[in-house]
Amino acid sequence: MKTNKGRLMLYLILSFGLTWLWFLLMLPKGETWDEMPANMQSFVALGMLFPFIAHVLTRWLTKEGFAMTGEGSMLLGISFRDKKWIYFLVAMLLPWFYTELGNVFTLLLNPECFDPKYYLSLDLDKRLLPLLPANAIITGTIVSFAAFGEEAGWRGYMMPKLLSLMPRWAALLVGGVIWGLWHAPLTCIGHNFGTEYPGYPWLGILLMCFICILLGVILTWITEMSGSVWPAAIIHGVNNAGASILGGYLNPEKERMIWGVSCGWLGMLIGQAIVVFVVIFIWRKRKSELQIKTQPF
Amino acid sequence: MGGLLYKDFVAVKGKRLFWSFVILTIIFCALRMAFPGTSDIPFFMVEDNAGETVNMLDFFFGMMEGSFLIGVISMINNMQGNILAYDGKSHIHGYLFSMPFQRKGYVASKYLFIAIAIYVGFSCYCIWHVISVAFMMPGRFADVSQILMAFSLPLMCLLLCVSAVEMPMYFLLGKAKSTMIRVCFWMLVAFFAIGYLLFGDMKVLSSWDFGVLIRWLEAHNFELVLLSVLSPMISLGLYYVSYRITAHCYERKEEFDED
Repeated sequence: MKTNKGRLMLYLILSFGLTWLWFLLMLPKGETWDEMPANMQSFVALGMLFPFIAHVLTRWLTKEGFAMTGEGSMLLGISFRDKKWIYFLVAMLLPWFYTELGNVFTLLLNPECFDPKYYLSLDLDKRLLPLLPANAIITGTIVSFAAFGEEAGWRGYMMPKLLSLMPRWAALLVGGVIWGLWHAPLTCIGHNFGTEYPGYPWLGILLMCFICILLGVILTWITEMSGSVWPAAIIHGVNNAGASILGGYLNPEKERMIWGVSCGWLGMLIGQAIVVFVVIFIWRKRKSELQIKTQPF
Repeated sequence: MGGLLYKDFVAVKGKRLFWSFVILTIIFCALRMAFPGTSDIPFFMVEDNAGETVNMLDFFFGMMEGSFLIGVISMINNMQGNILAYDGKSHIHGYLFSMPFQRKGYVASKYLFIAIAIYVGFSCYCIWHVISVAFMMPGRFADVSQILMAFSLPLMCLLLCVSAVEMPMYFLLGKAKSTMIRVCFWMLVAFFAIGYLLFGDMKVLSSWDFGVLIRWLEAHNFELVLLSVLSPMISLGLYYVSYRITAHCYERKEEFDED
Protein backbone atom coordinates (compact mmCIF):
# COMPACT_ATOMS: atom_id res chain seq x y z
CA MET A 1 0.00 0.00 0.00
CA LYS A 2 1.94 2.97 -1.27
CA THR A 3 -0.41 5.95 -1.13
CA ASN A 4 -1.05 7.97 1.99
CA LYS A 5 -4.80 7.57 1.48
CA GLY A 6 -4.55 3.78 1.43
CA ARG A 7 -2.27 3.73 4.45
CA LEU A 8 -4.58 6.03 6.36
CA MET A 9 -7.59 3.83 5.59
CA LEU A 10 -5.68 0.77 6.78
CA TYR A 11 -4.72 2.56 9.98
CA LEU A 12 -8.33 3.64 10.64
CA ILE A 13 -9.66 0.13 10.02
CA LEU A 14 -7.12 -1.32 12.45
CA SER A 15 -7.55 1.40 15.06
CA PHE A 16 -11.35 1.36 15.06
CA GLY A 17 -11.54 -2.40 14.62
CA LEU A 18 -9.21 -3.29 17.49
CA THR A 19 -10.58 -0.67 19.89
CA TRP A 20 -14.25 -1.28 19.23
CA LEU A 21 -13.67 -5.04 19.53
CA TRP A 22 -12.03 -4.41 22.91
CA PHE A 23 -14.94 -2.21 24.03
CA LEU A 24 -17.46 -4.78 22.79
CA LEU A 25 -15.80 -7.59 24.69
CA MET A 26 -14.88 -5.73 27.87
CA LEU A 27 -17.83 -3.42 28.54
CA PRO A 28 -20.14 -5.10 31.04
CA LYS A 29 -23.49 -5.68 29.42
CA GLY A 30 -26.31 -3.39 30.51
CA GLU A 31 -24.17 -1.18 32.75
CA THR A 32 -23.68 2.52 32.13
CA TRP A 33 -20.29 4.15 32.58
CA ASP A 34 -21.24 5.65 35.95
CA GLU A 35 -22.53 2.30 37.21
CA MET A 36 -19.20 0.58 36.45
CA PRO A 37 -16.72 0.36 39.31
CA ALA A 38 -13.71 2.67 38.91
CA ASN A 39 -11.40 -0.34 38.56
CA MET A 40 -13.40 -1.65 35.62
CA GLN A 41 -13.43 1.82 34.02
CA SER A 42 -9.61 1.84 34.13
CA PHE A 43 -9.53 -1.64 32.59
CA VAL A 44 -11.79 -0.60 29.71
CA ALA A 45 -9.65 2.54 29.30
CA LEU A 46 -6.71 0.29 28.35
CA GLY A 47 -8.34 0.53 24.93
CA MET A 48 -6.44 3.82 24.69
CA LEU A 49 -3.36 1.77 23.77
CA PHE A 50 -4.89 0.44 20.56
CA PRO A 51 -4.28 3.50 18.33
CA PHE A 52 -0.54 3.07 18.99
CA ILE A 53 -0.79 -0.69 18.34
CA ALA A 54 -2.66 0.08 15.11
CA HIS A 55 0.09 2.59 14.18
CA VAL A 56 2.81 -0.04 14.62
CA LEU A 57 0.80 -2.69 12.75
CA THR A 58 0.11 -0.29 9.87
CA ARG A 59 3.80 0.60 9.53
CA TRP A 60 4.68 -3.09 9.58
CA LEU A 61 2.13 -3.97 6.89
CA THR A 62 2.89 -0.99 4.65
CA LYS A 63 6.66 -1.33 5.20
CA GLU A 64 7.01 2.38 6.02
CA GLY A 65 9.70 1.67 8.56
CA PHE A 66 9.94 2.61 12.24
CA ALA A 67 12.07 5.76 12.24
CA MET A 68 11.74 7.58 15.54
CA THR A 69 12.46 11.11 14.33
CA GLY A 70 12.34 13.11 11.13
CA GLU A 71 10.08 13.27 8.11
CA GLY A 72 7.59 10.41 7.92
CA SER A 73 8.71 9.07 11.31
CA MET A 74 6.73 7.90 14.34
CA LEU A 75 7.55 11.26 16.07
CA LEU A 76 8.72 9.45 19.21
CA GLY A 77 11.97 11.36 19.64
CA ILE A 78 12.46 14.09 22.22
CA SER A 79 14.56 17.17 21.51
CA PHE A 80 15.05 20.20 23.75
CA ARG A 81 17.09 22.12 21.18
CA ASP A 82 15.88 25.39 19.61
CA LYS A 83 13.84 26.13 22.76
CA LYS A 84 11.59 23.09 22.21
CA TRP A 85 11.69 22.43 25.96
CA ILE A 86 9.17 25.27 26.24
CA TYR A 87 6.53 23.07 24.58
CA PHE A 88 6.99 20.38 27.22
CA LEU A 89 6.46 22.98 29.95
CA VAL A 90 3.42 24.36 28.10
CA ALA A 91 2.09 20.81 27.79
CA MET A 92 2.16 20.39 31.58
CA LEU A 93 0.53 23.72 32.44
CA LEU A 94 -1.90 24.37 29.57
CA PRO A 95 -4.61 21.85 30.65
CA TRP A 96 -4.74 23.44 34.11
CA PHE A 97 -5.02 26.88 32.52
CA TYR A 98 -7.90 26.08 30.17
CA THR A 99 -9.69 24.02 32.83
CA GLU A 100 -9.68 26.95 35.26
CA LEU A 101 -10.62 29.32 32.42
CA GLY A 102 -13.52 27.02 31.60
CA ASN A 103 -14.61 27.02 35.27
CA VAL A 104 -14.62 30.83 35.21
CA PHE A 105 -17.00 30.77 32.25
CA THR A 106 -19.13 28.15 33.98
CA LEU A 107 -19.49 30.56 36.88
CA LEU A 108 -20.40 33.39 34.53
CA LEU A 109 -23.06 31.26 32.80
CA ASN A 110 -24.35 29.68 36.01
CA PRO A 111 -23.45 31.72 39.13
CA GLU A 112 -25.80 29.58 41.26
CA CYS A 113 -23.46 26.58 41.05
CA PHE A 114 -20.81 28.39 43.12
CA ASP A 115 -20.78 26.69 46.51
CA PRO A 116 -17.92 27.62 48.88
CA LYS A 117 -18.87 24.69 51.11
CA TYR A 118 -19.00 22.09 48.30
CA TYR A 119 -15.42 20.94 48.74
CA LEU A 120 -15.94 20.62 52.49
CA SER A 121 -18.80 18.19 51.88
CA LEU A 122 -16.59 15.81 49.85
CA ASP A 123 -14.90 12.88 51.54
CA LEU A 124 -11.41 14.35 51.05
CA ASP A 125 -8.74 15.93 53.22
CA LYS A 126 -9.40 19.66 53.02
CA ARG A 127 -5.70 20.44 52.68
CA LEU A 128 -5.63 18.57 49.37
CA LEU A 129 -7.42 21.22 47.30
CA PRO A 130 -4.37 23.42 46.57
CA LEU A 131 -2.34 20.29 45.83
CA LEU A 132 -4.79 18.85 43.30
CA PRO A 133 -3.44 20.70 40.21
CA ALA A 134 0.16 19.78 41.08
CA ASN A 135 -0.90 16.17 41.70
CA ALA A 136 -2.77 16.05 38.38
CA ILE A 137 0.19 17.56 36.50
CA ILE A 138 2.74 15.18 38.05
CA THR A 139 0.62 12.02 37.77
CA GLY A 140 -0.73 13.01 34.34
CA THR A 141 2.84 13.44 33.09
CA ILE A 142 4.32 10.33 34.69
CA VAL A 143 1.32 8.03 34.09
CA SER A 144 1.03 9.22 30.50
CA PHE A 145 1.44 5.82 28.88
CA ALA A 146 -2.27 5.46 28.15
CA ALA A 147 -2.48 8.98 26.71
CA PHE A 148 0.69 8.18 24.76
CA GLY A 149 -1.12 5.17 23.30
CA GLU A 150 -3.75 7.48 21.80
CA GLU A 151 -1.47 10.33 20.75
CA ALA A 152 1.11 8.06 19.11
CA GLY A 153 -1.73 6.91 16.88
CA TRP A 154 -3.76 10.05 16.23
CA ARG A 155 -1.02 12.69 16.20
CA GLY A 156 1.82 10.34 15.36
CA TYR A 157 0.23 8.75 12.29
CA MET A 158 -3.27 9.96 11.43
CA MET A 159 -2.70 13.72 11.46
CA PRO A 160 0.49 13.71 9.32
CA LYS A 161 -1.37 11.58 6.76
CA LEU A 162 -4.43 13.86 6.81
CA LEU A 163 -2.25 16.98 6.51
CA SER A 164 -0.63 15.48 3.41
CA LEU A 165 -4.04 14.85 1.82
CA MET A 166 -5.98 18.05 2.50
CA PRO A 167 -5.63 21.66 3.70
CA ARG A 168 -4.78 22.12 7.37
CA TRP A 169 -8.23 23.40 8.40
CA ALA A 170 -9.93 20.39 6.76
CA ALA A 171 -7.42 17.94 8.28
CA LEU A 172 -8.04 19.33 11.78
CA LEU A 173 -11.83 19.09 11.32
CA VAL A 174 -11.75 15.58 9.86
CA GLY A 175 -9.19 14.40 12.44
CA GLY A 176 -11.33 15.69 15.29
CA VAL A 177 -14.47 14.03 13.94
CA ILE A 178 -12.65 10.70 13.50
CA TRP A 179 -11.29 10.91 17.04
CA GLY A 180 -14.74 11.80 18.41
CA LEU A 181 -16.40 8.92 16.57
CA TRP A 182 -13.75 6.55 17.93
CA HIS A 183 -15.14 7.36 21.41
CA ALA A 184 -18.72 6.56 20.30
CA PRO A 185 -19.13 3.18 22.11
CA LEU A 186 -18.11 4.83 25.39
CA THR A 187 -20.30 7.89 24.75
CA CYS A 188 -23.24 5.55 24.17
CA ILE A 189 -22.87 4.05 27.64
CA GLY A 190 -22.61 7.46 29.29
CA HIS A 191 -18.92 8.33 29.35
CA ASN A 192 -18.41 12.10 29.96
CA PHE A 193 -22.04 13.16 29.52
CA GLY A 194 -24.16 10.48 31.21
CA THR A 195 -27.34 9.09 29.64
CA GLU A 196 -30.00 11.50 30.86
CA TYR A 197 -29.61 14.37 28.39
CA PRO A 198 -31.97 15.14 25.53
CA GLY A 199 -30.85 13.69 22.23
CA TYR A 200 -28.93 10.84 23.91
CA PRO A 201 -26.65 9.42 22.48
CA TRP A 202 -26.42 11.45 19.26
CA LEU A 203 -25.98 14.83 20.90
CA GLY A 204 -23.26 13.29 23.09
CA ILE A 205 -21.42 11.90 20.07
CA LEU A 206 -21.71 15.27 18.31
CA LEU A 207 -20.43 17.09 21.38
CA MET A 208 -17.56 14.61 21.70
CA CYS A 209 -16.58 15.28 18.08
CA PHE A 210 -16.62 19.01 18.78
CA ILE A 211 -14.46 18.61 21.89
CA CYS A 212 -12.05 16.42 19.93
CA ILE A 213 -11.80 19.02 17.16
CA LEU A 214 -10.88 21.70 19.72
CA LEU A 215 -8.41 19.52 21.59
CA GLY A 216 -7.08 18.16 18.31
CA VAL A 217 -6.05 21.67 17.22
CA ILE A 218 -4.03 22.16 20.40
CA LEU A 219 -2.49 18.69 20.25
CA THR A 220 -1.60 18.90 16.56
CA TRP A 221 -0.05 22.34 17.05
CA ILE A 222 2.15 21.23 19.91
CA THR A 223 3.17 18.06 18.06
CA GLU A 224 4.20 20.06 15.02
CA MET A 225 6.10 22.66 17.06
CA SER A 226 7.97 20.12 19.20
CA GLY A 227 8.44 17.47 16.51
CA SER A 228 7.27 14.84 19.01
CA VAL A 229 4.04 13.25 20.25
CA TRP A 230 5.22 13.36 23.87
CA PRO A 231 3.98 16.90 24.66
CA ALA A 232 0.59 15.91 23.20
CA ALA A 233 0.60 12.79 25.40
CA ILE A 234 1.37 14.96 28.44
CA ILE A 235 -1.46 17.41 27.62
CA HIS A 236 -3.84 14.48 27.16
CA GLY A 237 -2.75 12.84 30.41
CA VAL A 238 -2.98 16.02 32.49
CA ASN A 239 -6.33 16.89 30.83
CA ASN A 240 -7.76 13.50 31.86
CA ALA A 241 -6.41 13.91 35.41
CA GLY A 242 -8.56 17.06 35.71
CA ALA A 243 -6.34 19.69 37.30
CA SER A 244 -8.48 22.32 39.03
CA ILE A 245 -8.81 24.28 42.24
CA LEU A 246 -11.93 26.20 41.24
CA GLY A 247 -13.69 22.93 40.49
CA GLY A 248 -13.80 22.26 44.24
CA TYR A 249 -16.23 25.19 44.59
CA LEU A 250 -18.60 24.29 41.74
CA ASN A 251 -21.46 22.08 42.85
CA PRO A 252 -22.53 19.87 39.89
CA GLU A 253 -25.97 19.34 41.46
CA LYS A 254 -26.71 23.07 41.04
CA GLU A 255 -25.65 23.19 37.37
CA ARG A 256 -28.36 24.04 34.88
CA MET A 257 -28.65 22.97 31.26
CA ILE A 258 -28.46 25.24 28.24
CA TRP A 259 -29.53 23.74 24.90
CA GLY A 260 -29.37 20.28 26.48
CA VAL A 261 -25.75 20.73 27.60
CA SER A 262 -24.70 21.37 31.20
CA CYS A 263 -23.11 24.73 31.99
CA GLY A 264 -20.02 22.90 33.21
CA TRP A 265 -19.38 21.48 29.76
CA LEU A 266 -20.30 24.72 28.01
CA GLY A 267 -17.86 26.67 30.17
CA MET A 268 -15.12 24.15 29.45
CA LEU A 269 -15.81 24.36 25.70
CA ILE A 270 -15.59 28.16 25.76
CA GLY A 271 -12.31 28.00 27.69
CA GLN A 272 -10.82 25.53 25.23
CA ALA A 273 -12.12 27.51 22.25
CA ILE A 274 -10.30 30.62 23.48
CA VAL A 275 -7.05 28.66 23.77
CA VAL A 276 -7.65 27.24 20.27
CA PHE A 277 -8.03 30.76 18.83
CA VAL A 278 -4.75 31.78 20.45
CA VAL A 279 -3.06 28.64 19.07
CA ILE A 280 -4.38 29.34 15.55
CA PHE A 281 -3.16 32.94 15.80
CA ILE A 282 0.35 31.80 16.86
CA TRP A 283 0.36 29.14 14.13
CA ARG A 284 -0.58 31.59 11.36
CA LYS A 285 1.93 34.15 12.62
CA ARG A 286 4.70 31.55 12.58
CA LYS A 287 3.69 30.44 9.06
CA SER A 288 3.83 34.01 7.76
CA GLU A 289 7.24 34.55 9.46
CA LEU A 290 8.58 31.40 7.80
CA GLN A 291 7.20 32.56 4.43
CA ILE A 292 8.95 35.94 4.84
CA LYS A 293 12.25 34.20 5.73
CA THR A 294 12.12 31.88 2.70
CA GLN A 295 11.10 34.58 0.21
CA PRO A 296 13.88 35.44 -2.24
CA PHE A 297 15.11 39.02 -2.31
CA MET B 1 22.22 10.00 21.29
CA GLY B 2 19.57 7.82 19.61
CA GLY B 3 22.25 5.44 18.42
CA LEU B 4 23.75 5.10 21.90
CA LEU B 5 20.31 4.46 23.41
CA TYR B 6 19.62 1.78 20.78
CA LYS B 7 22.98 0.16 21.53
CA ASP B 8 22.03 -0.09 25.21
CA PHE B 9 18.61 -1.43 24.21
CA VAL B 10 20.35 -4.24 22.33
CA ALA B 11 22.75 -4.78 25.24
CA VAL B 12 19.91 -5.52 27.68
CA LYS B 13 18.19 -7.75 25.07
CA GLY B 14 15.41 -5.20 24.79
CA LYS B 15 13.45 -6.95 22.04
CA ARG B 16 13.34 -10.19 24.01
CA LEU B 17 12.21 -8.27 27.12
CA PHE B 18 9.53 -6.48 25.11
CA TRP B 19 8.03 -9.64 23.63
CA SER B 20 8.25 -11.43 27.00
CA PHE B 21 6.29 -8.59 28.56
CA VAL B 22 3.66 -8.63 25.81
CA ILE B 23 3.16 -12.41 26.02
CA LEU B 24 3.11 -12.45 29.83
CA THR B 25 0.62 -9.56 29.90
CA ILE B 26 -1.72 -11.30 27.46
CA ILE B 27 -1.56 -14.52 29.51
CA PHE B 28 -2.07 -12.59 32.76
CA CYS B 29 -5.06 -10.73 31.31
CA ALA B 30 -6.63 -13.92 29.94
CA LEU B 31 -6.16 -15.76 33.25
CA ARG B 32 -7.50 -12.83 35.26
CA MET B 33 -10.61 -12.64 33.08
CA ALA B 34 -11.11 -16.40 33.23
CA PHE B 35 -10.73 -16.46 37.04
CA PRO B 36 -12.14 -13.21 38.39
CA GLY B 37 -12.16 -12.64 42.12
CA THR B 38 -15.77 -11.54 41.92
CA SER B 39 -16.94 -15.05 41.02
CA ASP B 40 -18.21 -17.37 43.75
CA ILE B 41 -16.06 -20.41 43.12
CA PRO B 42 -16.43 -22.21 46.50
CA PHE B 43 -13.05 -23.90 46.24
CA PHE B 44 -11.25 -20.53 46.45
CA MET B 45 -13.43 -18.82 49.07
CA VAL B 46 -11.92 -18.92 52.55
CA GLU B 47 -12.54 -17.13 55.81
CA ASP B 48 -9.63 -15.20 57.32
CA ASN B 49 -8.86 -14.60 61.04
CA ALA B 50 -11.08 -11.52 61.07
CA GLY B 51 -14.06 -13.55 59.85
CA GLU B 52 -13.99 -11.88 56.44
CA THR B 53 -14.59 -14.06 53.36
CA VAL B 54 -11.80 -13.63 50.83
CA ASN B 55 -11.19 -15.11 47.43
CA MET B 56 -7.78 -16.78 47.19
CA LEU B 57 -7.74 -16.08 43.45
CA ASP B 58 -7.34 -12.42 44.37
CA PHE B 59 -4.44 -13.37 46.62
CA PHE B 60 -2.80 -15.35 43.83
CA PHE B 61 -3.11 -12.61 41.23
CA GLY B 62 -2.20 -9.93 43.74
CA MET B 63 1.00 -11.85 44.48
CA MET B 64 1.74 -11.99 40.77
CA GLU B 65 1.23 -8.24 40.54
CA GLY B 66 3.57 -7.63 43.49
CA SER B 67 6.14 -10.04 42.08
CA PHE B 68 6.02 -8.20 38.76
CA LEU B 69 6.79 -4.90 40.52
CA ILE B 70 9.71 -6.44 42.42
CA GLY B 71 10.95 -8.06 39.20
CA VAL B 72 10.86 -4.77 37.32
CA ILE B 73 12.73 -2.94 40.09
CA SER B 74 15.48 -5.57 40.41
CA MET B 75 15.85 -5.86 36.63
CA ILE B 76 16.31 -2.12 36.19
CA ASN B 77 18.71 -2.04 39.15
CA ASN B 78 20.86 -4.66 37.43
CA MET B 79 20.72 -2.90 34.08
CA GLN B 80 23.00 -0.10 35.22
CA GLY B 81 26.02 -2.30 35.63
CA ASN B 82 25.17 -4.41 32.58
CA ILE B 83 25.04 -1.56 30.07
CA LEU B 84 28.46 -0.31 31.18
CA ALA B 85 29.94 -3.81 31.32
CA TYR B 86 28.67 -4.48 27.78
CA ASP B 87 30.51 -1.39 26.50
CA GLY B 88 33.65 -2.54 28.28
CA LYS B 89 33.46 -6.05 26.78
CA SER B 90 32.83 -4.79 23.26
CA HIS B 91 35.68 -2.24 23.59
CA ILE B 92 33.46 0.47 22.28
CA HIS B 93 35.19 3.36 24.03
CA GLY B 94 38.11 3.50 21.65
CA TYR B 95 35.79 3.62 18.65
CA LEU B 96 33.31 6.04 20.22
CA PHE B 97 35.81 8.60 21.50
CA SER B 98 37.83 8.58 18.30
CA MET B 99 34.81 10.35 16.83
CA PRO B 100 33.95 13.97 17.73
CA PHE B 101 31.78 12.81 20.58
CA GLN B 102 31.83 14.26 24.07
CA ARG B 103 32.25 12.03 27.10
CA LYS B 104 29.47 14.08 28.68
CA GLY B 105 27.10 12.84 25.96
CA TYR B 106 28.12 9.24 26.64
CA VAL B 107 27.36 9.66 30.36
CA ALA B 108 24.07 11.41 29.50
CA SER B 109 23.01 8.48 27.29
CA LYS B 110 23.43 6.02 30.18
CA TYR B 111 21.51 8.20 32.62
CA LEU B 112 18.78 8.74 30.04
CA PHE B 113 18.52 5.03 29.30
CA ILE B 114 18.02 4.15 32.97
CA ALA B 115 15.44 6.95 33.40
CA ILE B 116 13.53 5.71 30.34
CA ALA B 117 13.74 2.14 31.65
CA ILE B 118 12.24 3.25 34.98
CA TYR B 119 9.42 5.09 33.19
CA VAL B 120 8.67 2.09 30.95
CA GLY B 121 8.89 -0.32 33.91
CA PHE B 122 6.48 1.80 35.93
CA SER B 123 4.05 2.00 32.97
CA CYS B 124 4.17 -1.79 32.54
CA TYR B 125 3.42 -2.25 36.25
CA CYS B 126 0.46 0.16 35.97
CA ILE B 127 -0.98 -2.01 33.18
CA TRP B 128 -0.64 -5.13 35.33
CA HIS B 129 -2.21 -3.35 38.28
CA VAL B 130 -5.21 -2.22 36.21
CA ILE B 131 -5.76 -5.77 34.91
CA SER B 132 -5.37 -7.36 38.34
CA VAL B 133 -7.60 -4.99 40.28
CA ALA B 134 -10.38 -4.80 37.65
CA PHE B 135 -11.57 -8.28 38.62
CA MET B 136 -10.87 -8.17 42.36
CA MET B 137 -13.54 -8.63 44.96
CA PRO B 138 -13.83 -5.50 47.12
CA GLY B 139 -12.06 -6.19 50.38
CA ARG B 140 -8.64 -6.76 51.89
CA PHE B 141 -6.72 -7.82 48.79
CA ALA B 142 -8.13 -4.95 46.71
CA ASP B 143 -7.01 -2.57 49.48
CA VAL B 144 -3.52 -4.10 49.48
CA SER B 145 -3.33 -3.78 45.71
CA GLN B 146 -4.33 -0.13 45.90
CA ILE B 147 -1.69 0.46 48.60
CA LEU B 148 0.91 -1.13 46.33
CA MET B 149 -0.14 1.19 43.51
CA ALA B 150 -0.06 4.23 45.78
CA PHE B 151 3.49 3.38 46.82
CA SER B 152 4.71 2.33 43.37
CA LEU B 153 5.46 5.90 42.24
CA PRO B 154 7.51 6.75 45.37
CA LEU B 155 9.23 3.35 44.97
CA MET B 156 10.20 4.18 41.39
CA CYS B 157 11.47 7.56 42.59
CA LEU B 158 13.50 5.74 45.25
CA LEU B 159 14.93 3.55 42.47
CA LEU B 160 15.88 6.74 40.63
CA CYS B 161 17.64 8.01 43.78
CA VAL B 162 19.46 4.68 44.17
CA SER B 163 20.53 4.94 40.52
CA ALA B 164 21.75 8.47 41.20
CA VAL B 165 24.08 7.00 43.86
CA GLU B 166 25.11 3.84 41.98
CA MET B 167 25.72 5.25 38.49
CA PRO B 168 28.75 7.34 39.55
CA MET B 169 30.19 4.21 41.19
CA TYR B 170 29.77 2.17 38.02
CA PHE B 171 31.32 4.89 35.87
CA LEU B 172 34.27 5.66 38.10
CA LEU B 173 35.02 2.33 39.81
CA GLY B 174 33.79 -0.23 37.28
CA LYS B 175 31.24 -3.03 37.63
CA ALA B 176 33.27 -5.41 39.81
CA LYS B 177 34.15 -2.91 42.56
CA SER B 178 30.67 -1.35 42.50
CA THR B 179 29.01 -4.76 42.85
CA MET B 180 31.32 -5.49 45.80
CA ILE B 181 30.32 -2.22 47.49
CA ARG B 182 26.62 -2.98 46.91
CA VAL B 183 26.93 -6.48 48.34
CA CYS B 184 28.80 -5.14 51.39
CA PHE B 185 26.09 -2.53 51.94
CA TRP B 186 23.24 -5.04 51.78
CA MET B 187 25.11 -7.47 53.99
CA LEU B 188 25.42 -4.70 56.57
CA VAL B 189 21.68 -4.02 56.33
CA ALA B 190 20.95 -7.75 56.67
CA PHE B 191 23.30 -7.93 59.66
CA PHE B 192 21.46 -5.18 61.48
CA ALA B 193 18.07 -6.66 60.54
CA ILE B 194 19.04 -10.09 61.93
CA GLY B 195 20.44 -8.43 65.01
CA TYR B 196 17.15 -6.64 65.59
CA LEU B 197 15.16 -9.84 65.05
CA LEU B 198 17.33 -11.68 67.61
CA PHE B 199 17.70 -9.02 70.27
CA GLY B 200 15.23 -6.23 69.46
CA ASP B 201 11.80 -5.38 70.79
CA MET B 202 9.33 -7.51 68.81
CA LYS B 203 6.21 -5.97 70.34
CA VAL B 204 6.08 -3.46 67.51
CA LEU B 205 5.80 -6.24 64.91
CA SER B 206 3.30 -8.32 66.88
CA SER B 207 0.84 -5.40 67.07
CA TRP B 208 1.16 -4.69 63.34
CA ASP B 209 -1.86 -5.50 61.21
CA PHE B 210 -2.98 -4.72 57.69
CA GLY B 211 -6.05 -3.03 59.11
CA VAL B 212 -3.81 -0.68 61.10
CA LEU B 213 -1.85 0.15 57.95
CA ILE B 214 -4.98 0.82 55.91
CA ARG B 215 -6.44 3.04 58.67
CA TRP B 216 -3.15 4.92 58.92
CA LEU B 217 -3.09 5.48 55.15
CA GLU B 218 -6.69 6.70 55.11
CA ALA B 219 -5.89 9.12 57.92
CA HIS B 220 -2.77 10.42 56.15
CA ASN B 221 -4.11 10.84 52.61
CA PHE B 222 -2.67 14.35 52.38
CA GLU B 223 0.84 13.12 53.24
CA LEU B 224 0.58 10.38 50.61
CA VAL B 225 -0.47 12.87 47.92
CA LEU B 226 2.32 15.21 49.00
CA LEU B 227 4.79 12.33 48.72
CA SER B 228 3.49 11.53 45.22
CA VAL B 229 3.93 15.16 44.19
CA LEU B 230 7.32 15.80 45.78
CA SER B 231 9.11 12.49 45.24
CA PRO B 232 9.37 12.77 41.41
CA MET B 233 10.67 16.34 41.64
CA ILE B 234 13.23 15.58 44.35
CA SER B 235 14.42 12.34 42.74
CA LEU B 236 14.75 13.93 39.28
CA GLY B 237 16.68 16.81 40.82
CA LEU B 238 19.05 14.39 42.57
CA TYR B 239 19.40 12.36 39.38
CA TYR B 240 20.39 15.45 37.39
CA VAL B 241 22.92 16.53 40.02
CA SER B 242 24.35 12.99 39.96
CA TYR B 243 24.66 13.18 36.16
CA ARG B 244 26.52 16.51 36.31
CA ILE B 245 28.95 15.24 38.96
CA THR B 246 29.52 11.94 37.13
CA ALA B 247 30.05 13.66 33.75
CA HIS B 248 32.59 16.05 35.29
CA CYS B 249 34.49 13.30 37.12
CA TYR B 250 34.36 10.91 34.15
CA GLU B 251 35.84 13.51 31.80
CA ARG B 252 38.68 14.23 34.22
CA LYS B 253 39.23 10.49 34.83
CA GLU B 254 39.51 9.77 31.11
CA GLU B 255 41.91 12.70 30.61
CA PHE B 256 44.05 11.41 33.49
CA ASP B 257 44.08 7.87 32.03
CA GLU B 258 45.10 9.23 28.62
CA ASP B 259 47.97 11.18 30.19
